[in-house]
Amino acid sequence: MKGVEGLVKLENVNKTYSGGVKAVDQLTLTIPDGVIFGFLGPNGAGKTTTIKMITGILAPDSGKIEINGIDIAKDPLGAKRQIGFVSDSPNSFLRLKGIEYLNFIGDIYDVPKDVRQERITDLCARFEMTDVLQDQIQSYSHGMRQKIMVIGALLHDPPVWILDEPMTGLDPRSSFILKEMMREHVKNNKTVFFSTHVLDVAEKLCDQIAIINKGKIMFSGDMAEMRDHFRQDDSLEKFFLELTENEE
Amino acid sequence: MKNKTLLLAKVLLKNEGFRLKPKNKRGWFILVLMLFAFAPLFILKLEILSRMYSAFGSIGQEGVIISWGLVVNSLAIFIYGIFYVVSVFYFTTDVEFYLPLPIRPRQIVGAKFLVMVLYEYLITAYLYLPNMVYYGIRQGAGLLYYVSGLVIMVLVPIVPLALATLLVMLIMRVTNLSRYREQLKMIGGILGVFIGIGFSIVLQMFNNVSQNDLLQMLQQGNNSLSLVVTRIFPTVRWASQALLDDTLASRLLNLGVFIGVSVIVYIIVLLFAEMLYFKGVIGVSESRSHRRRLEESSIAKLVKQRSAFKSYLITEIKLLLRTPAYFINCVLVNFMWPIFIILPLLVNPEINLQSEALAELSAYFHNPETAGIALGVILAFLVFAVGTNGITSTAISREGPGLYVKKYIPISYRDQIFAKLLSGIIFGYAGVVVIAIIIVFFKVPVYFTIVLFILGLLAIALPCMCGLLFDLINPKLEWDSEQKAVKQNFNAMYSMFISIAAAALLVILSFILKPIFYLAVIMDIAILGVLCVLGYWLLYTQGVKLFSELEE
Repeated sequence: MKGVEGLVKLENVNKTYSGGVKAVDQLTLTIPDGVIFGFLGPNGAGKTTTIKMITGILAPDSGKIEINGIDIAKDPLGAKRQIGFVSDSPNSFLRLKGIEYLNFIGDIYDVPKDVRQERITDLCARFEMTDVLQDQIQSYSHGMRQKIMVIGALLHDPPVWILDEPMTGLDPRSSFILKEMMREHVKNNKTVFFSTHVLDVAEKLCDQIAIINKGKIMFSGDMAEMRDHFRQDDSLEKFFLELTENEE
Repeated sequence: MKNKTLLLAKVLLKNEGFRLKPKNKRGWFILVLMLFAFAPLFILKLEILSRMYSAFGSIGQEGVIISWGLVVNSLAIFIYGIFYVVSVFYFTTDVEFYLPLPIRPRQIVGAKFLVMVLYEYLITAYLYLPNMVYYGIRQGAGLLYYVSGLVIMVLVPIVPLALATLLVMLIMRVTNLSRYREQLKMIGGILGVFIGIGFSIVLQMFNNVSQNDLLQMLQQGNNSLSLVVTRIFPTVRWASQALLDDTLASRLLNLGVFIGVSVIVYIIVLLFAEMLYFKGVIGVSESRSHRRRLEESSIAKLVKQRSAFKSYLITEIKLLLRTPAYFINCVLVNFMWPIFIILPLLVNPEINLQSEALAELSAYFHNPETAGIALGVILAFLVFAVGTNGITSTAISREGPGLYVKKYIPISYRDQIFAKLLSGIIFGYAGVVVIAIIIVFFKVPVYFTIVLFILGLLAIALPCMCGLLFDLINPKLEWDSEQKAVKQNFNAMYSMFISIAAAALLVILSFILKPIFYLAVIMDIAILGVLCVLGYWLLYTQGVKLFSELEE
């Protein structure tokens, strides 16, 4: 049944940076399978920190994180294999050609050659990236860099696809294709988890959302629940307005 | 109105996180470790100074330690300066931030130049300062001597660095002409380095003084020899006369001339910058896009499968070769030292395959009693040369803001560390091949070459492991331009110190114990082996832990 098991589970996760800033505070979150899950909050709310802990980039100070049933502290490599990650700064490997980057990622995630070939062909065609595969990534625009990272993240068909602010820098057409891909991805009981500070994007795309502010989860549920929730609570309503104002 | 050049220089310094005080415990730990590593080097330096002072003092030539210090210092700054200038002026993207601002090229160049001078004081503090102070103490010099000495210390990097800057600016202006900019820039950088090295070798050759002249001069006493030494770098002459001349008037006059010339040379650099710099640097980060029409069927040919480890290693090597700043400062430096040795052999007409000098050298390799020392020296040279290349000592720093990628991909930190180590060893070993080719000229026995190939691996692995450990302890991850990861990265310098210390250990033991060849092999294996095992152990316990704890 959809939305029961929980592909990503966070339990009482805490993270304080060396400067003393508590970025994530007793965070508990279950992201079910088969849904597009939006992670919503203003700038500096702790979205990126949370994503970094889920993907293994940062270690939490305390708490437990499980990906597809694997505890990332106990089996980091096993847990990392369950994830395809697209960061918000696609500025790595700039001196590699697009195809070299994809081969590198394919090798790291052990994607067999025939599968790799099929997926590269398909994804590049959809994103209109085929013709630039033999150019170095540094010659790409921001949007193209974003797209090559998305293709890389999907090469191993991960159970959990995580994106940090994915719409930034994409043109409307690419943005549309990306959303379409997200919808396809969740069809086989897989999960898409992405962060955004734009309420509108979350409203139109997500099956479920969580709202984070100052390191704490303020709400988690589906869109209808969220609206009810906000109507009942004045302070939340104010916060909701702030989020709406964040829309550019 | 504030001086924009100084303002910019301040911003540049802050921007690259320049601080005198280490920012955390690790920083302090490394600093203390370095002081310990540096102590033997300093003692060695004092020992050399005291011996030179006595030897030359007996013929009234003790002033040579001043001029010698200044000359070596200037040559070192000139050679390093070329790498610096290429990286800091051209292989950097931070220039693009300044291009839209209302500042003149000479202000950008001036600011960057001042920052470079500041870093060059590290070289000057070792190569010149102790000489000046030692001479002053032995001579019982007065206040004026030390004040002049310090003024010279402040100004002495300017001329060699200015020469390096002018050379590179000219080359880069020419190579920024075509649409194959990036490749030509790389070639320009390489050309700059080779012209620089060649130039300094030619200078040394012109400095050959006939024996008669030399004898005459030696007999004159009166520090006349120091004048000969300074012919290599003309401005150094005024500097050393400012410290050594007999009369106060002459000393002050020379100091004045030296200050004047340094300032004029700085201004000349700024004038040339105004004409050449922007034209050479604009478009530095542009890269070509082919947009080749690619049929879906041909994607099949481009898809290759490798093991994760192999793929990681190849990527590591590709980035080293393709990123101009990394190529110049890591890969090229790796091959610079062997070339430093071979070039004089090639250009000097007196040395050929039949010459006596060569036959003498060759005898060293054949005589079992001296072959051991020769082996120790060559291995020490390898340790030193690889220790300076910065491939592993910046391997983590080079990840920079993109380090997070290496943390989320499913490949163990242990494998990543090993791949980075191996990339250093591969380039280092290529250096061994070059050395092996060089010593063919000396007609070395085959078994010597074979031993060198085997022991060379240990001699290379050691500095590679040391460098990687340093970079894991305190990597420089906050940078906005690739050159900052490899230049002005103290880990590369620390790694160099440690490798000099290890090389010195090998040389000293070889000369003290004078082991015959097979004992030398055992001794070198023992020394290098123990250190390598220690390094390996540290890397795979502490190193892996450090990598896993790294956070941006």
